[in-house]
Formats: sequence, C-alpha cells, structure tokens
Amino acid sequence: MKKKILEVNDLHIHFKTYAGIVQAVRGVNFELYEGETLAIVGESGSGKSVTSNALMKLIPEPPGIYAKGEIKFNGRDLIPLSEKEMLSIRGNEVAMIFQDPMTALNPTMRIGKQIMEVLLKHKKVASKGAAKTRSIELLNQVGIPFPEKRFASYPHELSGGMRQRVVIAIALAADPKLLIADEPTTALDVTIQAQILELMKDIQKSSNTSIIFITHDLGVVANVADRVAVMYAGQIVEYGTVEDIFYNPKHPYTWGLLGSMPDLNNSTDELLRAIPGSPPNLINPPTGCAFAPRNELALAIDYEEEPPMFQVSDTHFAKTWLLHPNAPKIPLPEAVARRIESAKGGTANA
Amino acid sequence: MTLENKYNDQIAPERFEIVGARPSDADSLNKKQISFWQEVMYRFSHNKLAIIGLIILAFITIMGIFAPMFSSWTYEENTGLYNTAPSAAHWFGTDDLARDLFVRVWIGARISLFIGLAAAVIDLIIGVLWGSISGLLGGRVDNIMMRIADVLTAIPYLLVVIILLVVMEKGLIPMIIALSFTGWVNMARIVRAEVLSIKSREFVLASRTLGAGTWHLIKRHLIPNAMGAILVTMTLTIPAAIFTESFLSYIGLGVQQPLASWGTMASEGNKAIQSAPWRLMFPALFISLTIFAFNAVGDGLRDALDPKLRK
Amino acid sequence: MLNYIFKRLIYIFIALFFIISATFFLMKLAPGSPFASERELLPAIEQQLNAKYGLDNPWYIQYKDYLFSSLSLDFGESMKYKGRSVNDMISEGFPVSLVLGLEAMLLAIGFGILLGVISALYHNRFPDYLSTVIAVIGISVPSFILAALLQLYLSLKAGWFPVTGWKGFSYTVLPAFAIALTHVGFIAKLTRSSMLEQNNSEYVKLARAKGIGKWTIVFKHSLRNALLPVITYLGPLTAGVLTGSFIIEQIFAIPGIGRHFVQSITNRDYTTIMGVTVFYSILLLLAVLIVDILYHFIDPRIKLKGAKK
Repeated sequence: MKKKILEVNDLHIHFKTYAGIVQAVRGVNFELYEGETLAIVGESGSGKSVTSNALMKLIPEPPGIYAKGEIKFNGRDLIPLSEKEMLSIRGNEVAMIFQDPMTALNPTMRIGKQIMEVLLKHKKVASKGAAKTRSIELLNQVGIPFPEKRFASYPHELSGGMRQRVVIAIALAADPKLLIADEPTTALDVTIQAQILELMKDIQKSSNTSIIFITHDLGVVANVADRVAVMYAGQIVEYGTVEDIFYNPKHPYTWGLLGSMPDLNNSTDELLRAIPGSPPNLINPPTGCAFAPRNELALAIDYEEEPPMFQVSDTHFAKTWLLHPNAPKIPLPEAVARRIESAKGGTANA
Repeated sequence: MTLENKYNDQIAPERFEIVGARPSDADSLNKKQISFWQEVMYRFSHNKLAIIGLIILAFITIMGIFAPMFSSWTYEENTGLYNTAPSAAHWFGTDDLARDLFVRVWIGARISLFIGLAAAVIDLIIGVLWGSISGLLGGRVDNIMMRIADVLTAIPYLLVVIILLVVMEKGLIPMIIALSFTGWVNMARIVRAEVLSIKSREFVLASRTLGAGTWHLIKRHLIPNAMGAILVTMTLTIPAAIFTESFLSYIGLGVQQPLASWGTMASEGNKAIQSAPWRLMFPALFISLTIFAFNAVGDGLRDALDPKLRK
Repeated sequence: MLNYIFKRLIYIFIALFFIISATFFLMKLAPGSPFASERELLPAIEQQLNAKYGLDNPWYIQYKDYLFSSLSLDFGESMKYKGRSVNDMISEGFPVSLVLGLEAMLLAIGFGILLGVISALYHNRFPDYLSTVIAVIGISVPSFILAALLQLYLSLKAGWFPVTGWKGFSYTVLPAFAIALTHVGFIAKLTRSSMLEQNNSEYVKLARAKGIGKWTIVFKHSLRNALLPVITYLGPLTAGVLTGSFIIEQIFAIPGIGRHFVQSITNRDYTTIMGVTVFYSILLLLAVLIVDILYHFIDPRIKLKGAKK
C-alpha cells in the first residue's frame, strides 16, 4: 500500500483586492501518493498556480487568505503552522520548480552558492566544503556538463535549459518528498522541454519523489502524469488517472481541452477548435456551473445550481450535471472521439 | 478524501434540458473599455501625494496671479513699517525697506514660477528637436549629436550655470538662458530613447508598409508615446530650476532688485535670521512647498504612466 | 579592464580640454576688468597690472599660456588677493572640503539606504510613512535653507552645536547634515522602490521556497540587487555634495574651497574662478569613472565595454 504524501481537503483561498474579494480557489480536493505524479491542468486564471503556491504557504497574506480547508502533508495540516515552522519544511521536505528560469535565479549570486544555500540552511551537510561537493554532485545529476567549473558561474552565463536544470538541482538538494513543478517547461524550447521532462522522470524513478506538475499543455500531461486534476475557475472539475481523463473524459471542459489539441494524425482541413469566451470573474463567482456560459451542451440546471462531484469509478470523478441519472445521454463530441481513437491506436504503450 | 458521491436524485427532469452556451456572459467584459489616457487619469487621481501636490500648485498659481491685484500695497512700496513681524495688516510682516512681504511673496511666486516654466519650455523645444533628429537619423549623425550632449553634461550643471551668469551679468533673461543652456540634454536623451524604441517596433514597420511617411509617423506614433515621458521630465525640471535659482541668489547671482524671486528674498532674509526670521521663513516655506508639489505631481505622472502597472 | 580605464582617461582628457577652453573664453567675454572693483586705478598702474597678468597679450597667446599652465596644474595667481596663488588656495581649502564632503556622502548613503530598506520592509505601515516624510522633506527643502534653520535652532538657540568655524568634530555635524539631507531623500526613494521591485521578483520567491527566512533574504539576496540603481546615483551624489558645499561653507564659515569659490565669484576674480572650475571638473570626472568601475565589480552582468547580456 503506497503511502499518502499529501491530502488537500476543501481548500478555499481568497484575495483581498481594491475591487473586492477574489475567490481564486473554491473548494479543491485531491490526494497524492508516494512516487506518483499528479498533473494539474487548466487555463490561466483557473487557480492552478494559486493552489500550487498555497501548498507551501507561499501566498502572501495579506492580500491572500486561507479561507477554509486543510493541506495535510504526511498527515500534518500545514495551514495552522507558523511561518517559522514552514521555513523548515520549505526547500526541505517540499520543494518547488519555477516557470521562468530566466528570472528564477538571483542574477548576482553564483549558481553554486545558490544550491549550497539550501544544503546549509537545512543542515544536510556537515560543512561548507561538504556543501560544495554535494552541490557539484547535484549539478552533475541534473546533467550539467563540467559541473566543477559551472559551480562558479553566474546565471546569465548559462542557457535557459541549463538554468532550469540548476533550478531543479536546487529543488532536489535537500531530498524532498514532494516536488511542485509550476509550468517548468512552458518558457523553454520544445526540444529542451523534452529533455527536462526526461530528467524529471528519471529523478522520480531513482528517488521515489512525488511530483505535482502544473501545466496547461495536455501533451506534457500525457507524457508525465499518473493522475490528472482538471481545474476551471478555482475548482477541480474532473479528476482521475491519466487513462480516465484521456480515454474516458466526462466533463465538457475536458472535452474542450482535448478537442483543442492539434492532432497530427487527422486530416488537415479540420479547423483548430478553441473554446470561445473567457473564464468568469471570480469576485462574484456564478451560482451555477462556472463553465456553463461557454458550454454548448449546458443544461438549464447548470445555470441555477452548481453540480456536485459525481463518481465515475474508483479513481474517476467529474463535477458535471451530465452525470446525473436524469441528464440526457450525450455522446462524446466528434473531435474528442477521433483523438481518443487515434491515441489508442497510435500508442502501444502510454 | 471528502469526495462523496452524494447527489439529490429528486430533481425535475425539465431542468436537464440542453440550453447551450451564453456567449454574452462568456466574453465577460470584466474589463471596461477605457482609453489609455483615461486609465492614466484614474491612476493619477488615486495617488494621494500627487493630488496634494496639484492642489498646492493650484493654490500658489491662483494666489500668484490674484493676490497682488487685491493687495493694498505694491511690492516695492514703502509702508513706513520697518522689519515688523507678521500682523493683521501685514500677514507676512515687512522687510528692512518697509515693503509688505505678503505681496512680495506672491510677486516672487510669479517670478520663480515664470523662471521655472520658461526654462522647462526651452528645454522642451531644444531637447525634443535634438533628441528626435538624433534618434530618427541614427548612424553617424546620432553619434556626433550624442557626443556633443555628453561633453556638455561633463561639467556639473551648477558650475555651467554659475559661469554663464558671471559672464552674462545677472538678470531675468540671463538666468533663464543659463538654466536651459545644458538643461535640455536630459530631455533630448529621453526623447531619443523613446524614438529609438518606437523606431524598432513592429507597428512602425507595419505603418511604413502601408505607405506612411516620416512626418505622419512622428505625429501619430512618436508624439503620443513619448508624450508621457516628456510631460514627466518637464514637470520635474521646474522644481530643479526653482532650486537652482534660489541657490544662485544665495551666492549673489540672482535676479536684480527690486524685482525679487523667492530665492533673493530668502537670501536677504537669511542675513536677518535672528532679528526678523519671518523674512526667511515665508519665502523658504513656499520654495519648499513648490518643489515638493512639482515633484509629487511629476512622480505621480510617472507612476500613472508606467506601462508595467497596466491591468 | 585596463584597456577600458585607459580609454576613459582619454575621454576625460578631451572633456577637460573643452572645459578649460570654454572657461577661458567665457571669462574673456565677461564684461569689465577684474580690477574694476578696486578704487580708481591710475592708468599706468592698471597697465602694469594688465602686463603682469598677461592681459595685454593677444587672446591666442593668452589661451596657449593658459592651456599649458593648466596642464601643469598651475592655475596662476589670484587676481583679487595679490600674491596668493590659486594653487595655494586650492590646496588649503581642499582637505577641509574633502572631510566635509566625505562626511556628507557617508551620511547620505548610510541614512538613505537605511531609510529606504525600512520603508520597503514595512511597506505601507508606519515606518514606511515616517521614512517617506523624511525623504520628502529632504528633497523639497533646499540645503541652504535647512542649514540656516539648523544654525538658528540648534546652534544659536539651543546651543547644542557651535555656530560657525572648523575646529573639531562637532563643527562638522550640522554642515554635513545640511548637505546630506537632500541626498538622503533621493537615495531613500531610490532604495525603497528598488527593494520593492526586488521583493516581487521571481528569485525572491524561489528563495522563500527554499525555506530561507525573510531577513536573510533581504541581506543576502535582495539588497545587493536593489543597490545597483543606487550605485548609479553616486555620480550625481558627488556632484551634488560638491556644489552643496558652496553655500554651506559660507553659512558655517568653513575654510574650504567652496567658500573661496563663492567669494571669487563675487569678486570677479577670474583666475580663481577658472582654476577652481577646472579643479572641480577633474574631481568629478574621476569620480564618475570610479563609480563606473565600482558598478562593474558589483553587477556581474555588466561588461564595461559594451552592452548588458
């Protein structure tokens, strides 16, 4: 039985702004087990970044407020913890990889020192000399050539891909149980992206780290995730294993996301379908289903009442009225069905 | 895990009819469409310091224009009362030549503000011309023009002003010339920077491919974009000019008697600081308030125009 | 690096050439003879004086003479105080002004950065407002007015400090403070906005994600990056302190170069004016060069010859 590393229950996060209170996260629930990767997918404004920052209590308060809920890391709720207590957890048991390697590193500090800082702060080494040795090892582990020389480099002397590897090295330095990767490949070229993803998968295999992977790119999700949570307007609208989500999606928003992925296998005269419209204002969240105004298949009840989470299987849940027994049976949209077919046919091993 | 599979199955079937999307709700125009300048005005008006500065400037300008008109004395008239402290008859007291200080302060306002504005305007004209020509033409011309500008600013500003005034003899016009002699370089640099950044932007290229000439580009693109930076620079030049003018008065290079700027009044008042402190206090107070006000407004404008803060 | 310094020195030389020439010609254009302020001079004596100062030579000879003597740093004799060489006046006054200037600069940098950092860390709370008020006062109230007020209230009335003169440390406090306060204001503002900008940067977020404490982040990460713009202010700071000294030295009767300079302006003592101007220019040009070199050492991204990466 795998150990449960993280359990998030009914998390609500609000922000106080001049215009009002923004409800950025509105009741999020998920779990994460040892050694597995959970991908959180959504567009900008869905609340995925806020959620990931909240896991380490990195949300500035004010203006942020942990309005409700629990974040249980190894059984211990993090929300009531003081900043001082969090300092010993951050970088140590939970670590984060940031999106933009260009700005994530301190431009006036040598990269070796930036790695050593983690080791020394969390007392993972006996001396500065040991810290240096370990840092060079880490640089090697993440695939940076000539690590002894690179130890003394400044960030601007490295390319984007190299910098991201350094960021990963910093995150790994203290052997964290949980790694939160906030769009780590979005700012990189596609080829570098592939390398970084491989690196992360290797790391997970060798140290059994759990990873939460934030992204808006379904292609990446298919590549790395064991389980997926689809977020929209501050809520998780569909949740399941990667097979559940890709081969048996139940929420219209997930259909929209899958349908909007460019598909190389299909005929070229198929139009690229985007989901029209934009996410709702979270200062006054709608009372019904937040996705309804953009949903061609919205039901009357979608505009009146928010759907509960319906269970599709042991592992699969979706928050849509379409799963209610009284709802009409709607077939998968054609674009989605075709992609599923070609995916199933095309990939012998996912 | 608190995901429960609970739901109410007593829901009327009509509620499950497909009604579809509502595009008008979906394209939430949360962001009201407002123009660039409207947004600038909005941000500026919410900057407390800037509004205070604006009020102070309005007050001083109005008083400068109207107070002398309604005063019982002219600024050089002998009222018979020498060195009296502020009183009901003379709100700011009198000086050693028995002149009413209240009216003198507001005449001083006219002069100091005039000097500041004149210097700023000359800076504007020369600076904008120099900067835009240099930026637009580029290449060697740009190089030479900027080198000249560099050499001109190699000498500290105050030294240049002092030497020019020593050569030219004191006076209002010489003062303005001296202040703007190298002052325009700052404006030129800023304008040139704007020109260079706009020159390389895609919309200029697009405009050109549509057949737009250089003058058209200047009018429709350069000026609106550079306007913000120009306005901020001008607003911040004025308090520097007022400061420099009062500095010069203290070393005897100020405006001629009996015409008195705040600077000359302050330097005279300084000599009598123990016996008649009000003679220094009032002009000093207004110099400081005016410098503060212009700086506050200038900073407010700069923050309001900052593109990084655009929501 | 040495290459860079060498190139800069050449530029300094060229700039100085322009400055010396400009000063010379401007003084020539100035109305009146320097002896006009004296009592009526007998024409014969005036002629003798003119000959002595070489004023009867054609202008190009005077120019050549001046250039050469300037190059050898000989600024001639004061026209007002016969027998006193300008060089002597400068070398007497310089140590005094130097002490005053350095004190003012240290005050300005120290307090300025301190106020700016406090402001940023207690953003929008009381310490921020207090620091901002101090900064605003510093920027708005001209140094000489502040000096007069300080002299009036703290020296004459309260007796905490001596009124004028230069006979010990307590004599330096008020003048240095008067010069420094304006710059405290500018530096505080600059530091504050720079620190705030750093606080919102990604690398600070990453440092927090590492579990590094707030104050450690400030001193080990943000501060160094935040101070970069402040270093660029050091050039204008030097110029400001230098020019600030003119009136302050007068008000506090401090025997520095500034006071001599102001007096030479009043007296239309052209040789002194020219000499001091050239001297000041050399100082400032060197100061700017030093600041640029300093900046290079502190920001590893800047290559001195060219653009940032």
